[in-house]
Amino acid sequence: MKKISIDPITRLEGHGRIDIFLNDAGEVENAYMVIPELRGFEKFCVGRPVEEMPRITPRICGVCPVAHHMASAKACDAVYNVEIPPLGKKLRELCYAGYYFEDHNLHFYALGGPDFVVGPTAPAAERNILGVINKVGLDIGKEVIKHRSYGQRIVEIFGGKPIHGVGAIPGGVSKGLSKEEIDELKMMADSCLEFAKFTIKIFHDIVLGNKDYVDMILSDPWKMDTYYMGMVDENNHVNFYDGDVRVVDTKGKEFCKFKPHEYLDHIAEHVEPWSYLKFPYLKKVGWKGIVTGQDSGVYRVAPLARLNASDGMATPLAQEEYEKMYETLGGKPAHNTLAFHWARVIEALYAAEMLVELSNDPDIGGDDYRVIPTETPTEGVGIDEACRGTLIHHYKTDENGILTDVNLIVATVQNNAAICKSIADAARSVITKGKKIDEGTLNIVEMAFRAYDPCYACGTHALPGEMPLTLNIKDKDGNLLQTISRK
Amino acid sequence: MPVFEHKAPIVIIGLGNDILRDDGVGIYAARDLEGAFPTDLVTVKTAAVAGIDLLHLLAGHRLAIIIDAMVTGKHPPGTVLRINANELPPPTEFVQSHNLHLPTAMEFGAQLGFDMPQRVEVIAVEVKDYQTFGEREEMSDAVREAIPEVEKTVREIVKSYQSEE
Repeated sequence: MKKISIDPITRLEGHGRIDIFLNDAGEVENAYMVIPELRGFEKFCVGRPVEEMPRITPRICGVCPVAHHMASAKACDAVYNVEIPPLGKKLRELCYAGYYFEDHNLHFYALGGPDFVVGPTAPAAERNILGVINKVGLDIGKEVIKHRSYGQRIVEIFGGKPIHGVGAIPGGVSKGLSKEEIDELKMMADSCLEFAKFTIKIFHDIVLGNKDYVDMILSDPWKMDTYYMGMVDENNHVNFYDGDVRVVDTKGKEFCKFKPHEYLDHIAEHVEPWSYLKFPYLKKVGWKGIVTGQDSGVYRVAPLARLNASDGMATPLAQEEYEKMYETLGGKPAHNTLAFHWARVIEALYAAEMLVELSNDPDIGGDDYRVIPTETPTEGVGIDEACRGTLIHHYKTDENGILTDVNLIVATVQNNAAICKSIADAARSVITKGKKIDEGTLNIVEMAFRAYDPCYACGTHALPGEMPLTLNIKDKDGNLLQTISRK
Repeated sequence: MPVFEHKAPIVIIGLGNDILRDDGVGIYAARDLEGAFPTDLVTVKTAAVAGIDLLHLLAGHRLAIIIDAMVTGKHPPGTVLRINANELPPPTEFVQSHNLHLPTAMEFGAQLGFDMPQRVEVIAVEVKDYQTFGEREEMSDAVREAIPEVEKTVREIVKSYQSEE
């Protein structure tokens, strides 16, 4: 058996490697995402006061800090059995919408979007944010950077600093908003909404306006029928911050809907000896291996999964675009993996609409944003939707609030099986015996995981920040046959 | 854009992750320097970002001093190197847009019309263990002991900036 490794992968948050195994006939047998997993984080937390968790967990990674911060604060609320005031919830949601807006935009313009805007087989040297900006114009580049900084500024206003903010605390939030801050938020929210509308237009003009791209999105190697999970509000509309977790089956029918503290009844984790990463699956369907379909417990999370698991969006413009997407893709649920990109820009539009709504809320400047927890701490689960999918924090403490047990199920891990399957499908479509494996081929394979915007960041980074890509093709005995390298 | 308007001509940016042992060295050194200089001269920031996300932290300042961990394997842990980022050779191509090469990020920012620093100094500390969870007191001895040298280097750079102005 031959083994192809792509290591490290470009434009992946964190570090990772793809192994592609070829059989003796030179065809793709299987493909796996191999990740050097975070080690010992849960153990590192045990013995600490639970209220430290909203400050520590954002440091798991620099990419989803706000998602960890909020899931952790929600778990703390549950540990102390406290209901936060409505204003506390609104302020948390405002911050959360800012985080979604900047994170989804970064992915579209810098990480996933280049494949479409510049082209899937364009040279790697052009397939990046600079290539995107060359194509759409320098002024747009300025807007991208400006709105990314707006998103970070919104998080900063809430949390005191742009990265690893400290706004949410057990029982609510630590500070309210001044009049000047509200004015600044309103100005940024209006600008974000205009930019979100512009991004949707770019997506329509450049991606949907290109028949080759649309054909690729709709083609079989890029389709996978799985269950889908996402958080919804009382109307079954997508909600990033709060609600019940809803799962739909491969036909789009509601399979289950559960409260955060019930998650262990629905999610179990399979372990493979060759991977550090676990494989979460739906407990009531069961683990059948890295296979898809109605009989397999493999489910997907993140933008397209959230839209599939919902009945719509809570804001008008996002709802309009939601309907357009399903009309184009042939109804719900959409199994097209590359449509994650479309769902992502729709969610960015929803986030921008939420920013406008919340910053104009007549109560947003009030001071009833926290209740002091008084009950003896015990156990609690907090769930939110990170940009990359459902994020679960589960804490147990002693009567003094000292952590005795911590369980985290992070977003990307839940897509683990699906990502492996998508990579194998994409690899099969482009790697056949005798065909030269070039960089364009490799990028098609990488596109399979980029759709999910996976994040395995461990917070390390090396100057000057270059990450070479090397492909090794090995025979079954591990002998190196060929190396392709991007410098 | 309010976020790009700064009073202080110098920015010190400590990069890293302060719960991954030695990877936090840049953050710890920067925190130690908070309050060490007049606020109308120096702003101190800490962040866990790279490349393009550095752009708006750098924009609006004249001199940037970045403190970060490095893993070269060529120097003993705790070695402190001072690198003029303007002298880093530009890459022939961009392989990873998120971790945009620093000079490229600078050039990109300038192309977009942002007021980028005229000089960027990088103070890099060779680290040993940057993958195990742990805090400041759990850093490798050699790396922890390098912090005074980092701070001394920062002071020298600030002083030379003042004498040039």
